[in-house]
Amino acid sequence: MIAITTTYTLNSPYQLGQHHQSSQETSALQNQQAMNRFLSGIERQAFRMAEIASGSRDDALDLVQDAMISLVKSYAHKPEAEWGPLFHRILQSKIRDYYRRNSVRNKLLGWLGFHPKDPQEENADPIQTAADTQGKGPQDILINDDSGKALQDALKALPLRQQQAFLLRNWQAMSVAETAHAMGCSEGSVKTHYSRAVHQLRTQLEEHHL
Amino acid sequence: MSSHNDFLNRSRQQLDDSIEHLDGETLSRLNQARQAALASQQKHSPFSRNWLPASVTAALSLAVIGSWLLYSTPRPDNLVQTAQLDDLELLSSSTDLELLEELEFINWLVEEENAG
Repeated sequence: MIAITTTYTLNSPYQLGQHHQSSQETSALQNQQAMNRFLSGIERQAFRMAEIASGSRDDALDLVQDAMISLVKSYAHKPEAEWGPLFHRILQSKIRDYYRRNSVRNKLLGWLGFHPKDPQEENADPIQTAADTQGKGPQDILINDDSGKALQDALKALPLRQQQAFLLRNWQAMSVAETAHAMGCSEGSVKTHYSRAVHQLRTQLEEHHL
Repeated sequence: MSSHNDFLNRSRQQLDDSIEHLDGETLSRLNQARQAALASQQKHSPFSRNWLPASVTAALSLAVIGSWLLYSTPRPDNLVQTAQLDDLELLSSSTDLELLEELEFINWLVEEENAG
């Protein structure tokens, strides 16, 4: 009797439809939970990369949110393993767009006689950027709680492509091919940008802390 | 080489440390950004699920109307075929051809006389 009932249940088109819809909803929920885990795991690093690139916390948060929304809307159906490279590609693309927009805006303002401030300077804390009269060098800065600031400042001073190459290759531990995909350029360009970035950073920082 | 690797490792460590101590407001806004992104997924899914049957119905209706319009009007192919059949009838009639040849001959004679 149980077997008959089970057969009836599975063969009923209505109930099969319900079962299908229910499994779809379960799958969607699981997908959403996985996406939530993925985004919460990557959001801080994404924010830091965007902040280094833009020099502004607010703009960085906007960039991260835009990248998250684009990923969710366009690629949530993709396998979870592909989300990381896709997210970085979207984020880096948005950062490049941000640079282009700012560049055009600054040129326009320049023609109109305004001289926009560098966002990094504009948002910088004057106390943090004031010259250190106590002779506190980068070495001392690097060994205290705020030791990453010198590195971040040095990264901000790099050209965007070198900055991206260094953060993706070294911090995100992405391969040359993955980095090239994220940056939308050739592997040769990645190697060049990364090599120059490392050389530049070491020149600026190594003598102080390594 | 060791120095190079040390530099890379230390840089990585410093960047990791820098995100461990983000301020509360930044963390809160990151959380909001994530929730907004996930909400866009929720909005996106029901939309596509609800509109899928309507889209399929519309596509099928368009296909049916298109087919009906296509087959209800005479196609150029049919016209060409009809013209070819007319030509075949003319060609198959030997008397008509002879008449045409005679007419051409009579015209030539008239032209010769006029010229002479």
